[in-house]
Amino acid sequence: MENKTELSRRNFIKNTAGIGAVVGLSAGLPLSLKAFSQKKTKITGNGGEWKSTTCQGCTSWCSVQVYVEDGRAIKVRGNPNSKVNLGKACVRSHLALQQVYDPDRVKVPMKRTNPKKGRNEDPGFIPITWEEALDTIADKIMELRKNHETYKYVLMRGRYSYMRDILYDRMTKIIGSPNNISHSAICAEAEKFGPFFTEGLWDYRQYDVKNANYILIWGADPIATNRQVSYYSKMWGDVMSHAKVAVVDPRLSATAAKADEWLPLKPGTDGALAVAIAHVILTEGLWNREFVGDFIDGQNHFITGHDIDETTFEEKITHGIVKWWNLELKNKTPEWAAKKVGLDVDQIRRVAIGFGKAGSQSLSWVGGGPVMQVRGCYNSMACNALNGLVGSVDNVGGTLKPNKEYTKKFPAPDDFMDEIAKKGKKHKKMDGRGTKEFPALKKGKPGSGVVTNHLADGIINEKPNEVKVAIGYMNNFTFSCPESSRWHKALSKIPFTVHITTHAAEFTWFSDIILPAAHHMFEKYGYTKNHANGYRHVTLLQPVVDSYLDVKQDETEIPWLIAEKLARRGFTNLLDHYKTYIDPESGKSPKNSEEFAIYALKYATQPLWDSSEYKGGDHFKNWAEFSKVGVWNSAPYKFKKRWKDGFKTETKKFEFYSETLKKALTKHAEKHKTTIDDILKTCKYEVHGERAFIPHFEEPYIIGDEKNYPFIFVDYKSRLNREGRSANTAWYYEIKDVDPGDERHKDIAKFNPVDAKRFNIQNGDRIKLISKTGELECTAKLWEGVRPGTVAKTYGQGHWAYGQLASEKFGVKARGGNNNDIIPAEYDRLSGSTAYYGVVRVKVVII
Amino acid sequence: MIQDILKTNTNRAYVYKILSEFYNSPQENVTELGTVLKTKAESLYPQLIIHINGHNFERNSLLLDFSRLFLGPFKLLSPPYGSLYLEKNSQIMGESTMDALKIYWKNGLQIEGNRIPDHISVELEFIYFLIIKEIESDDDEDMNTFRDKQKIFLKQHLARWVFSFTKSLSENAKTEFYKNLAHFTRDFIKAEITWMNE
Repeated sequence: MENKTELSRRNFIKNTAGIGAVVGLSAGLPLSLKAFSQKKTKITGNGGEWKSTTCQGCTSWCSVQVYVEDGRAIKVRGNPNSKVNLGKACVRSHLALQQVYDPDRVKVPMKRTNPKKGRNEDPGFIPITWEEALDTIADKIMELRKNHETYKYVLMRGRYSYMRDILYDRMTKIIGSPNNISHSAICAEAEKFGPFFTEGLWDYRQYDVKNANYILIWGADPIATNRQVSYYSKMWGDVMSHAKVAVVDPRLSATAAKADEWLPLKPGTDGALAVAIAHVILTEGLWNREFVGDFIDGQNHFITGHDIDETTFEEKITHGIVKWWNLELKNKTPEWAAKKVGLDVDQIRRVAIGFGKAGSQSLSWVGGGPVMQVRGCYNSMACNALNGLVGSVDNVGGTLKPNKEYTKKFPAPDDFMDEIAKKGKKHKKMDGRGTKEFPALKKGKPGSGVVTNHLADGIINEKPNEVKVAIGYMNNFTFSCPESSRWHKALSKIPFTVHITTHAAEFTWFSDIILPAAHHMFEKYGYTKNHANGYRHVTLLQPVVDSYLDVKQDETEIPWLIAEKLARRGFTNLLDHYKTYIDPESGKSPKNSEEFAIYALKYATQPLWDSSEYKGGDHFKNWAEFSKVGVWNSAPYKFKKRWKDGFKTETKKFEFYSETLKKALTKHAEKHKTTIDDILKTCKYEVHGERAFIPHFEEPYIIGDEKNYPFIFVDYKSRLNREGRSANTAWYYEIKDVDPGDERHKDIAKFNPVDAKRFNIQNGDRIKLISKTGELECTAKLWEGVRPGTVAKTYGQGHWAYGQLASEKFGVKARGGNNNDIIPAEYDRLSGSTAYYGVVRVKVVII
Repeated sequence: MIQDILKTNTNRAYVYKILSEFYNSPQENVTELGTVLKTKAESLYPQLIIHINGHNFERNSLLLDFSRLFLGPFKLLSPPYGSLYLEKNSQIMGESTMDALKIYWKNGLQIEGNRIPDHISVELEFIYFLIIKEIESDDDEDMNTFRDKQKIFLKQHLARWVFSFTKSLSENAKTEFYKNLAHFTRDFIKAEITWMNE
């Protein structure tokens, strides 16, 4: 036996000698493994474990747990430790499983080999090492620094976790550019406009549905899409048993389908309905005396058509109720509104009275629908002002602000910005914010809000500057911004673009380097925060699975690795800055990208888990405990605190006449040496004079004439979207009929049967929807759940480059149609928001 | 007899190892490896060498073809992962992947670096590993165990999907190299199954 062994070994070695080196077999070591190592074997068969992380499939940001077995994700549930989503997780969180294990994910860094860029130019990506990718990026940045052109660097951010500032803010500033451009204006920025200019809150609200008796919802679909979908879905059965629910939406949303009232109004006329409801509340005497105040004589003088003397009304916690009445409401009767909005007078009156009678336990819930429109900011104000009338703002059963949380900001960058950086940062931003036509009044400060979609025009026109180096992460502006063809042009023009992404997408098509990103829910450290149920939670994103792809974390590891490369080229400031993110437990400075990712997270969340820094809410012993639980909950909501402390408006009151908006507009007009009226006209609003400062109705601004384009296009988001990142998952198509009116495996445009008859459209017809901006192909369906004169279609499909399932013929033909191909690039300019809804008319061609 | 088995096994080990290399991102040594493969395959299964020509390969064109076939980034034309052929959900890291992974674990192996456990290159290298183990065996029983393991792994994993994969590869490959690789892999695994069953 011994002989045989000797013989076999000798022979093998003899055979391998000489040529062995070619395949990495050395003569002395017969076994040479590349894919394996002979390390200690994992123990298997112990069953799995629930691990805490966060779902970013929409901005509900539910705390979730993933069941992990042998390093692999098996299933998902809501994290039972969260007081916000209460152990629930909606359908989108489950789709994430098919994202993380999508064979089309970017697996290694790649570079473009085709120097030409364009929609019809195959980029010819080939794999490269991280070394080569990072070296190339660092060289490009150093070139900008050498030439004092750092402002020609742009960072484009799509979705983010709160680790965002490491890459988005600190890196951009320390390199020396003003151009960190976020996606916020293609999200729902205008939704914050109304609350800010009435109650001083630039944020999304939470809704106390447990205690509400009347819920009036404007273009939101809380049991399907954004925000706190898991929470509201859990609550909705109870809600329907104790509250009346009325949904204003031109199409029958999931929430509308379960509501007591569906008000399918003409798109964009929400403001008319809101002011008519306000009119009824006042004329019927249903306003909240404790919050708004009363006439001195105790009589109701809100009589249709009659002006009121301001001195006769004693206001309490509000400002400008009589001005609002005189300037806008006095003639805005349900009869007037009925013609504008295309609804029945009785229904308008019924809803108004129902809402008013429920008093402070009625809430007006403003979603993206009525506000992400060309004149949407005033709809946002009008709908939100109803909460002021009934005193439900900050009240039990009303609309609430986020609770306090105690995360820390990352170290400031200032000391690490050299002269080049300081000079570079002083240049104007590329998105046009703050120009006369883009006031972008975020938090009342002109030019402080982003105008995401306008960046494309800035790049194309080199206005204010050219862009030489760009990095995009977790974004796909080429698909998600209206009039997407402009982005093809813009990105083709940038000489060097990097895309950090889990999946190659239409944005990647125009990029020079792709960096494979860790999946946020399974492979990354980070945190997010959100609010509902009277609580706020801070929930951790954590690597919960074994990853077998060569991916890195987008917001932490990648900027660190770039910083290392820059340091090797003599520019150490960024790395020096990142080294100040000290691990609170060990006191150590990070030495590599992995350490940096976790130290940064521990640093930012320290007050939540370090008992020596405890400030409130859930109490943890240490990081290990917080990491296991995965979520921190705030203290419960303090109702009516702002009634006492004052609102963050100019008058400290809830403003029906917005002194806050007046101040912001005045500032912007003065900056451009003109009048407010001129600004408003430039920005496509109808209003002038004093009415500019009150919630009022503006005729919707819709592109396309009714004769040639008979349908108003109603765009809305599929509940399966995961913010538009799930189009390459099989389940997306297999269960597409969870969107009311839609069908499996299809991209459906829905027509009311009345219209279908008029235009001879049949169920299943392949059609083109054509606007002045572009066209798309999809399938027609007859459905009563859509208002006559409109056509409704979910956003989500229509990818031409997003993996095997997402396109019909990859790179050539999209599967379904992208709504953004037919929506023009238009804006609600006061908020900077992109208009998606009630903005375009289309015609139909059967193909 | 023993000498024959050893010679055969050595050649087999080489072929599996070189095929495993060929399904990784192409390096500068492609042509050289091709020459070795030819020598080894010739004495093993002479009928296969029609699929090997002695051409020099230009690395960049191979990289481009390799990317579109096996990497993406947009869409994999010929996914090199077992689970995509063995399971209905078109996902990586499926049940069958985990089964392969657990077999590696049981044989004292961990995946090194960032590799999907049922990537064709990994599965081929695993069989190479088992062949080396067979060669190194001290007694007949061990030899048979490792031979059986090869047989079982082929039967339960690689051979269940490799032909669908090579069909896809031969249809989608643009370069002669990958077309030939598809044909060679197909015929080699077929010959292996026949040989093992003899």
